[in-house]
Amino acid sequence: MQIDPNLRALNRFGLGARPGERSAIDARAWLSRQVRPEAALLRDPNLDSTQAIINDLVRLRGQGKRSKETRQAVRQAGRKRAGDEMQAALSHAVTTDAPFAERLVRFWSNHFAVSMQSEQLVGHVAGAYEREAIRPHVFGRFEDMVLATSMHPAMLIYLDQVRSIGPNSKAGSRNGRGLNENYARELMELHTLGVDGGYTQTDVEQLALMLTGWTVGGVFRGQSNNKPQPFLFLDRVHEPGAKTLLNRRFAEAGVEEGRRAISMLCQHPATATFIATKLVRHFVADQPHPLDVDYIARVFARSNGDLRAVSLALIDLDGALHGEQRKFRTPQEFLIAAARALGLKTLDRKAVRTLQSIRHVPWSPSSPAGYGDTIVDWADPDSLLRRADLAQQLAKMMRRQSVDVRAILADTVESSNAKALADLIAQQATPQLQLALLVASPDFQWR
Amino acid sequence: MSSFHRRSFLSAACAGGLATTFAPSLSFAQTAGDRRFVFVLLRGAMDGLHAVVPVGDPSYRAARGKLAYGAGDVNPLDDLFSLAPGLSPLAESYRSGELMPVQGLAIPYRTRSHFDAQSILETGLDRPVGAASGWLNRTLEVLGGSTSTGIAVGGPLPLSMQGRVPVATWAPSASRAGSEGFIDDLAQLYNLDPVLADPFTAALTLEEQAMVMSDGSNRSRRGLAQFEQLFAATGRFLNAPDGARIASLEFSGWDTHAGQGMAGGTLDRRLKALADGLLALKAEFSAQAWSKTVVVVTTEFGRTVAANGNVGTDHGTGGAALLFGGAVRGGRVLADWPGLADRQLYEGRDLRPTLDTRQLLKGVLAAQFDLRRAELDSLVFPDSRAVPALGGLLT
Repeated sequence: MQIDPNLRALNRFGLGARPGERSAIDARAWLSRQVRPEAALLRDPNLDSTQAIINDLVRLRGQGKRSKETRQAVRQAGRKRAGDEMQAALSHAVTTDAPFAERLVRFWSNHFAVSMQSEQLVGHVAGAYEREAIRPHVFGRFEDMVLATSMHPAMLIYLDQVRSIGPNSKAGSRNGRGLNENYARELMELHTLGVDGGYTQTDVEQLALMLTGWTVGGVFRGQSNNKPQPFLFLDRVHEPGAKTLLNRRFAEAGVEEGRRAISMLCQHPATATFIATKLVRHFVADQPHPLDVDYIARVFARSNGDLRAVSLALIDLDGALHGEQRKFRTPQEFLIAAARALGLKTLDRKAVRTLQSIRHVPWSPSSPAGYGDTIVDWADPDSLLRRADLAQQLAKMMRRQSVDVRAILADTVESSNAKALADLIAQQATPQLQLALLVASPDFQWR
Repeated sequence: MSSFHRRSFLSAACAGGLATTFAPSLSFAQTAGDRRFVFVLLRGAMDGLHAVVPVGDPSYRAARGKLAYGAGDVNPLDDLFSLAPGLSPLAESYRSGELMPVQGLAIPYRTRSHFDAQSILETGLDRPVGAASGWLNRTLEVLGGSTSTGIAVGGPLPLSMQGRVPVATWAPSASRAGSEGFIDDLAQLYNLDPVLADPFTAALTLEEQAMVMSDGSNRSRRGLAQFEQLFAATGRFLNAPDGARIASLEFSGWDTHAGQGMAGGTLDRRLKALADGLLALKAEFSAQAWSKTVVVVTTEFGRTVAANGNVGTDHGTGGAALLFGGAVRGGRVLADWPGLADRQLYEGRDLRPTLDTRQLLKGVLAAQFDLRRAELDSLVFPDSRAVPALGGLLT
């Protein structure tokens, strides 16, 4: 099979080719042009900032004991907000001219996963989290992204940092509550060093102590007197004294301790390897080639985590635009690629809801490790049939439009059985069924 | 193993691709043989005291308040316990020795968060950490990793079934009817894909096996009717001579903070749907296959002993489970009953747990699949040597 680097770039590094693009681009130039900070942003005047959301929450909740009506209103507001955010993010993915940048947004958002399944409050801010903590840093410094996630309410709440109290702090010695090491552990295991990164249970506890006091202002029990704000450092919750992390001693320094710890973790060699492995796995192959990982890790380490340099290096990998290896599209990638191939301009609420049926709702993984990124996570029998269902639904949305199915096929699908695919598509009774078969076909599930 | 090393074992990268994993013939591992296991998770914390009712406890009425059943409302099992009205379809199974209710069990970590508790129950660990695999998947791995042995029915792949061994999935679909020709054409294309041909064929096989509804469609049922549909389909999958051997099912809607109700009320109707579902599962089995089957029904934690201000119950600790199946040595309630008097309660409000859920699960797996102790203690339930498997659960 002849591999067309343009189609590879559009499908493997983008979010799916649109009709007409394949012959109009130059793969490398098209990809590298997207590596600029503005390309990763999502500006939508209808979406609120994290600060505005928190103000709104405090206002909705009001003072004193909450009535059933109040709780309901808060829940409803959260649902509406999550729905708006999802629709905006997915519609943007369907229409963006910088799909490589958008893929990186989605990669990092899943790397620093939060889940709306855990706590209601996370649902209110998950979309804003992606817009404010992830997007601005996609082509910036890795350390800045870690810091932004660590100081955002979505992460502070999801991984229980808001519940962690220094045992010997003023607050800790008064009410006997204590340390919660959940975030500290995941910060090392999932966000920076990786599980084999060489830390111990003692390091987890020490890092948790360093991070005590990091919380959200104004929305948690016992601190409603504080000004509503996305991040707040509470000195009376912070564990006093020196700590030792990865054999390095840190003097007592309040909120600075957490910052210094994060900085050290980001510069650790294990972090470069861990991030490189995940990136190569995401873009190139389920089993990353060690040489590819080494190369990306070196770029990461030498540039001190400059994600612009790292993103550009991904394009240069041997297997990037040519190799035989394929990646199986995740359900969201499948839905977005289908919408792009069909030329849809937006995804409506109904299409967004279908993500539930294909089990890939944004910001809702069942564990802090985020959604899986290999074929074993997604190609189970029932899911394949669900994609076929969804393909038929999407094709129905095209009923009123005239489409050139053969052009879409030629411009969007890399097929190892091109003739069989084209023949079977041609045999379908209606253009809608032709489109449905194109999108449901096994070839369309790969990128 | 230290907890640190245990973790690194659990999240070791998934190895291997998908090829040859979903054998269309659904051939199964030798070690699973013809023994079947179904794990049913009731998400949201089913109120165990409203299911396996300790109506004979001297403190029951006072402690339970508005949610206390009278002795005449329930089906007596022994001096202490009775089955809730909704579970009465299972009373005969208790008499014939196929049902063993369990009381006072809990996961090993004290939390009242659904999310954390479900995660612990499903990973099989002793505290909430981001492990990427579940104990059911690791059981499949120990059994030899033949993938068609495992199936998750009804929803997305639950954490308990996630892991290195690919697991089949099936759920009813609202929109599949009337597209047979389309699916046939699609199957031709999938047959040309060396990786996806097997799972697609498996999907069609399961779809056929699941055609259990009288109208011949797999259209998804709504509300409580889902119980019967999903249980019956599960029965079909497991009864097939070359079918799956380990299945997981889950049902949500048990988080009864308000208006929990008595006989025929919100929770009791759900319990009845569960009981009818279990019998619908059994009805799909041959006598021979049923004699080698065990179902465990459990939930992430129990609920408060006392009714709250909304005649519901809040998140608690000790909970209940049901063992059901032809292989169960039932006809008795398994409980080291701690009592419901104030001083006997956990933190003054919950049923005190007296059994670690892992003891029950290990006991079932050990007997059902002849798993070795070392496998159970370190692989399936890591770091759990101090939590011995219960003996004598199965025939």
